[in-house]
Amino acid sequence: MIALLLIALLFLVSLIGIILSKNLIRKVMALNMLNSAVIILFIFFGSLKGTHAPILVGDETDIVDPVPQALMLTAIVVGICVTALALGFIYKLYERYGTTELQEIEQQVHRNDQ
Amino acid sequence: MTSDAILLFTVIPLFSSFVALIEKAIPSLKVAKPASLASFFLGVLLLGLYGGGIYEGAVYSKVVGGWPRGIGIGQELDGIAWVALALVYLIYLPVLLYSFSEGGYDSRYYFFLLLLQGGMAGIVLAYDVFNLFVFLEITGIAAYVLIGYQKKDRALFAGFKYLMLSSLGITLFLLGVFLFYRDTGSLTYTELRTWVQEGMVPAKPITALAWISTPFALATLLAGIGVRTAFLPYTWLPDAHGFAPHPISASLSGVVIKVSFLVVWKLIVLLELSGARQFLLWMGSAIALIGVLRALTQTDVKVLLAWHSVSQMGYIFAGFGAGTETATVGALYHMVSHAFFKALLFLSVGTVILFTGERSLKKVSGLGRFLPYLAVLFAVGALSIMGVPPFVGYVSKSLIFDGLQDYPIPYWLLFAASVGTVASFTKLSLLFRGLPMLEGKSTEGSVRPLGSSQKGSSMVESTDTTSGFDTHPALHSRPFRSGYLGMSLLALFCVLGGLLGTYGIQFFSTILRGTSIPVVPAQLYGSAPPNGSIAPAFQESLKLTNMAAFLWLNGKEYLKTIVTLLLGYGVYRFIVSKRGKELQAWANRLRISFDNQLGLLLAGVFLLLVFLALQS
Repeated sequence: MIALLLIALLFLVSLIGIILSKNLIRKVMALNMLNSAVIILFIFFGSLKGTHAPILVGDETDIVDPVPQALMLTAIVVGICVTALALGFIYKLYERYGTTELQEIEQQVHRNDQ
Repeated sequence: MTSDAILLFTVIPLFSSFVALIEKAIPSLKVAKPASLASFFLGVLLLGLYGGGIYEGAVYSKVVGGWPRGIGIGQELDGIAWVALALVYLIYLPVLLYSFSEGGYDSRYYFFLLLLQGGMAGIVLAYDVFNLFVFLEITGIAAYVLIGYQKKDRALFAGFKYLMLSSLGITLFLLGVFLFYRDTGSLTYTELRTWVQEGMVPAKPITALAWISTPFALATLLAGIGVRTAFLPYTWLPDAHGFAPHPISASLSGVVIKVSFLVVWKLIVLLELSGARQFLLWMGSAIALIGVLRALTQTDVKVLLAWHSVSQMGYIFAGFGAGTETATVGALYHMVSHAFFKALLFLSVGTVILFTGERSLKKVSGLGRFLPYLAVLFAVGALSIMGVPPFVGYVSKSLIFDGLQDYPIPYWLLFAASVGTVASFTKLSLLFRGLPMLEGKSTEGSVRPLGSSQKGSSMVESTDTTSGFDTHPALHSRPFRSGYLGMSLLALFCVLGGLLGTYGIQFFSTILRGTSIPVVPAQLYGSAPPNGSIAPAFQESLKLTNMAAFLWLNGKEYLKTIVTLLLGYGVYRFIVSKRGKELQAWANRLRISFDNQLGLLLAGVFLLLVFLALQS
């Protein structure tokens, strides 16, 4: 139960972070945390089924569900790619607008509009 | 035809993309362009081989590596997937040809373009939610990079916004996948169906909150895809599609948003989510109008077109959401026709930007006499989107309107959107008609107004035109052969899709009705409508095989088209008037900040949840 509450807390904190942070890097990090929260949740529920790692060399029977682990490995890789790409974008945005603050970038963008 | 080969639809583009990367490592080896062309021809060949079986209602499925179905990576090719793949390839060729002509793209560009192709094929074919997640991300990553590829104007910021919104969406999607896997231990669509059918009844102690957690899971699944399809926050779309490189704009608006919508389509039909259909009906008709209203106030030519993508997708959502057979066929038809004409419009308007270096309607007009062929191509696209017969937009729009007869409010919202579309494209056609004006940069970089010296709306008053425009340095006209070839192909599709409308309708309804999910044979795409019968006159017209008779039976539609055109012209006169301009300036100050867009996404999930929970 404690674990679930912690995961829920992580999820909510990251969600708030994504929406309320003013800084782009913080937003991306919050997104990464949100992703982690879902991954931990997945792994946590998979682990409830057993106690041992799903490495079937011996005669282990009491193993955890291996599918979530396989899935989340993929999700982690995808998450890293997206985070890296987002940070790359922020770097380019910084070069162009000279700031990583969202509002300043939006102002500059709209100033160029008019 | 063996079903093993359906894997090739994803493998060929992915493999070609790595071939394209070889050129990055060894620049003297010019393999990127041949690889991207080869990928096209192989894909079309495969599609042709499967076409016959698909038309007879066959469904091909394949699980990679001999795993049991619930665990392995499953792919399935059915009718609707075949249509989507055909669309992917039909738009890919013009996009590719245009990229060759435009130049300035290196092997990385072709790598990501092919990755986009492979990702889209994977989305269409995926038969389990996790596989879908992976391919959504592949498509997404390719799209983000391609949007920001030229690093011009707002492209970078647009790409970043798109990345953030759709990543948030896809994380929620993953949460939905979790809830589904937790309850069933499986990931396939078939299991998903059983799960939803058994309903929101708690089966295990862990699912005590199932009455809310199942709709919530469905809402997050649909929302995750919905961000890509632009029916939850659609706000990222105008910048992303408007500032991407021209061929990428065509590809994004033409197919990328539709491919993800077809997944939504597949899921809603398979799971019988009438609540989500209601949601799409209302959301669709609302954003059809909102999109047009925003488009009317734009002066940036490509952003204007992108707002129309929002609006036209609204038609598709509403047609699908209504659920009547006519409207559903219409929605599928409109998906195809929108791909044709919007890609054509993006490419032709992109060519104007390429030749003039300007993207504002205030600075360019009257190019028709210098680029007559381009003007014709643009006109084909514009008339299609306005829904003028005999172009393709007319057929699909009248189908949607025909199917919406029983839903008066969405019907009139869409009618208003049609009027706005006419007005907005009358405005955009100023690029080619009216008096020539070009406030562009010549090769020396100085500002050289063409024709008259006034700028802005002054083209109405200006009378004198200088001779010798054709060689004016400000118009960077250049050989553009394969680009024109690509656009001509799209224009041909627009005309054929309209003229052969009857065959098209027959084809699409066969595909829709003949396609069933293997486990549930009675389940038909787009059937089981609340009031499903086709109008008798319409059924007659389906039997007739010539266009003239089809059009005769649709005499009423003709009248409506004329009324729409007249009203649209009226609206156009208003928006170029002084009052109209003040109104536009006011409307342009209304913006949704990026933070609020993220919030809107969550609000959208909540709204979808309400619709889904009320259904059950």
